[in-house]
Amino acid sequence: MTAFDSARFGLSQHPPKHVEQGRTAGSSGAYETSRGMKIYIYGIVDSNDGIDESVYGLKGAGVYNIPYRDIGVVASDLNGQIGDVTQDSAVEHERIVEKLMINCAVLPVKFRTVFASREDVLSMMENYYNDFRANLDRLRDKVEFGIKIIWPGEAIKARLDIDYNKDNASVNPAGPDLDSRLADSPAKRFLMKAFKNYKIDKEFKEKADGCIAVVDRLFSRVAVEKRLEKLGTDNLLLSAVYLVDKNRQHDFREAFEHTRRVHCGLKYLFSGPWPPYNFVSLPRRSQPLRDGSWSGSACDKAPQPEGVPRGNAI
Amino acid sequence: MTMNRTVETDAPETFIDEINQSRTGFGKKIDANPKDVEKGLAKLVLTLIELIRKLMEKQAMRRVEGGSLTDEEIERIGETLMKLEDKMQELKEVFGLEDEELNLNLGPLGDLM
Repeated sequence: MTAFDSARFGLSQHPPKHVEQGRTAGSSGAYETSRGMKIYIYGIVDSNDGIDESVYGLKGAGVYNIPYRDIGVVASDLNGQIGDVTQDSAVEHERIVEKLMINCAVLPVKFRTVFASREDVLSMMENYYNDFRANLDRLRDKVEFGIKIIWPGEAIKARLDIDYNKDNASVNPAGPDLDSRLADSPAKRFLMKAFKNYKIDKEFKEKADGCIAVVDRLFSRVAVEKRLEKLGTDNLLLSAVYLVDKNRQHDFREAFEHTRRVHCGLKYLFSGPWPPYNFVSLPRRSQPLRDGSWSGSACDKAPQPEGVPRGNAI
Repeated sequence: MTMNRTVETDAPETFIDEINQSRTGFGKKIDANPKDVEKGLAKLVLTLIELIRKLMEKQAMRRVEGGSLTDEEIERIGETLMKLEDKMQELKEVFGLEDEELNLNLGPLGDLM
């Protein structure tokens, strides 16, 4: 067992000698990585203690904690360019985040987030400290589950199309004589076709909303927060992530099994528990880019292997 | 020690297809390199025009649905939308752009269209 796995946050009381304890953004003589060395970060933790040197991250580099006030950034040195960090390393990144989660509240940072220097990291911490602190408190002892649902969307749309053609009056509130008004010129025929697509699309979305509401109700009873994205494609009805208390993971699983039994005409993809990648909520502020290798907010959504919603919560 | 994770599905291939399809165009950036600057700019401009065109079309559909348009107005709106679509098609062909390329990811706001 490494010190990382040990009881107190997995973080040792005494940092490795290369980590300067308690340094702040404003301090002089900032720690510098060696020439060409950058800092790769894994997450923000609610601890400013150091980490045992025997924990290794990307490219076998030692993982350490850069403390700022009562929290810290878990990082390792990166020799080379961020372009050298391929998707294959995502598993390593995830492994470190999960290790941290065993005993810490963690804000997982997006895969391939790199800072040019320790000063930049501390500057980011100074800018975002209050936000990080609030998120750490909110996400402590929480995990994330992903649910994706496929429904026969194309078939439903085809059915709506048939229904529209068969019984226009029942689908079209504008009345049965609308078609004749629209159909006597190319321009009107164009508008008629657009109107039909509009009506079918509208009804399709209403059906989707109804179906999502039924399913979501079951999961929402257990979850504390959620992010839903509907109709990624006509068939991909729902891509959702739910934030769940660690001690209610079993209940969430039960809710899924129940949903699958009751709504057996749908196809499901269930995954989790994950670190709460999709629930870190930070204001968007511009950050200085010194080497152009880092973009986006300091702590952002990281990719999940099975894909995650991209906003557009409904 | 890691989390006791489960990833399960009754239709893995279907999910792979649908997820890939849902990501088409996502994350693509404006291609504004010196060799292809015209196409990059055209993509940005046409994306914005397409957004406006779709908003106009939606507004027109609402008015048709509401039954408040005269025959002349229906004719005029239909012609305008038809010509707009034809012109967009022409411009897309000129710059070698596909429909799914005329979209932008707005980060936390999701996709433009």
